[in-house]
Amino acid sequence: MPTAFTESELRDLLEHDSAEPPHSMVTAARVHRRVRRIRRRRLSLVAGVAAAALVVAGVNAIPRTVTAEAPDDIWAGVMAQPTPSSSPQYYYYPGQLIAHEQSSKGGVRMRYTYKNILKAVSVAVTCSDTTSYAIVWVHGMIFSNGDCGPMPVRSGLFFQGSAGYNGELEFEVLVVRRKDVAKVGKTISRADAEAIAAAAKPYRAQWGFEVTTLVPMPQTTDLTSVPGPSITPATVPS
Amino acid sequence: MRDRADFERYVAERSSRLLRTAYLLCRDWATAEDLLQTALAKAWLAWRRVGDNPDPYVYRILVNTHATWWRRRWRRETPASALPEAIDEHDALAAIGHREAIRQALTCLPPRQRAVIVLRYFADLPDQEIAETLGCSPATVRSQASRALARLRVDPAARAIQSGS
Repeated sequence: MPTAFTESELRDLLEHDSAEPPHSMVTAARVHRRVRRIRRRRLSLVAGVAAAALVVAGVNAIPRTVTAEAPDDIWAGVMAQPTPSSSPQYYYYPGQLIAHEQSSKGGVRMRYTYKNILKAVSVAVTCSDTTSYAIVWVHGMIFSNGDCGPMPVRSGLFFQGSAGYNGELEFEVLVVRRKDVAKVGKTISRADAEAIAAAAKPYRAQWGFEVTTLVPMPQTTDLTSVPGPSITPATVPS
Repeated sequence: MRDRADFERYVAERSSRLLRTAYLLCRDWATAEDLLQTALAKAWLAWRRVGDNPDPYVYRILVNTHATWWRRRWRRETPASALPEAIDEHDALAAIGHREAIRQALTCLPPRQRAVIVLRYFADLPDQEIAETLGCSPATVRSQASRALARLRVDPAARAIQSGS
């Protein structure tokens, strides 16, 4: 049978076993050295965490360009703007006139197809009155939309990113009364445009549609003052 | 307010006993020194918040630090599946072997149970203080002690018989 150990014997055992500590003792000086070590370790840990936090914050704060995926119903071509970008070397400027269409049909979606257009182009819709609204599609996708008046507002169309582009461009133009458009001044979706087109009723309106090439020009102070609307192929260097 | 001189006085007065407590927890003098230095360093970092009796606070750090180290170094210990065999108590050589077996059993105890044994039978703390030190209830202390004593084959009733005889 196993023999029980008594509590008293257990006390004796614990006293006996710990009765001969080593000569080196734990002193306050040694404890303070340990304190300094702990503090250094904590400080380095805090510094490491702070550095990591700074890196994360820096990554989030550094300005960067994010390429957003274009919606399916918006034309993904590059828009040529009349103002220079942050690192521009050239302005793109309307060049030779490729096509000029005129129509008296408001509320009717008109289709124009051009071939062998291998240069960047600028398109513009002009209306005889100031109460119209125009929508331009390229290959069925919304390219531009907005108020339409005698002064053309041009939109540029580049083809660099258009894989499989074979030189053929299909435009559709719709001019409607501005009062029939709910989202005037806003970006509209493909569905919005289709709804406007479906609801539009034919009426008499004078409007024009023109396509010109876009010509890169070195950035100069003179160019910025050239008025766009009065440009004709004869006055613009090709 | 507790100051540096107060802390140094406490270290001078108590470090010997605390070192022995630390040794009984880890059963290695070098580790015990390391353990106590760490515990006292942590106590110093919170010294202003420690009350008039720093012992419970230091014991608590000792036990918790040891438990943490034990978890990290658990592979160094080899728990025995079999309890130490009983021997003939009238045999002197057997008695020595019996104490060694108890030592082995002590090292095989989980750190929590070992802490209860050390605090109760070496530091002579009542169960209530042990509970406060370990952050548990007195009932838990009693159950931990009971399990530990069973593994050590210590019979609590034997003390009464012995003291009564």
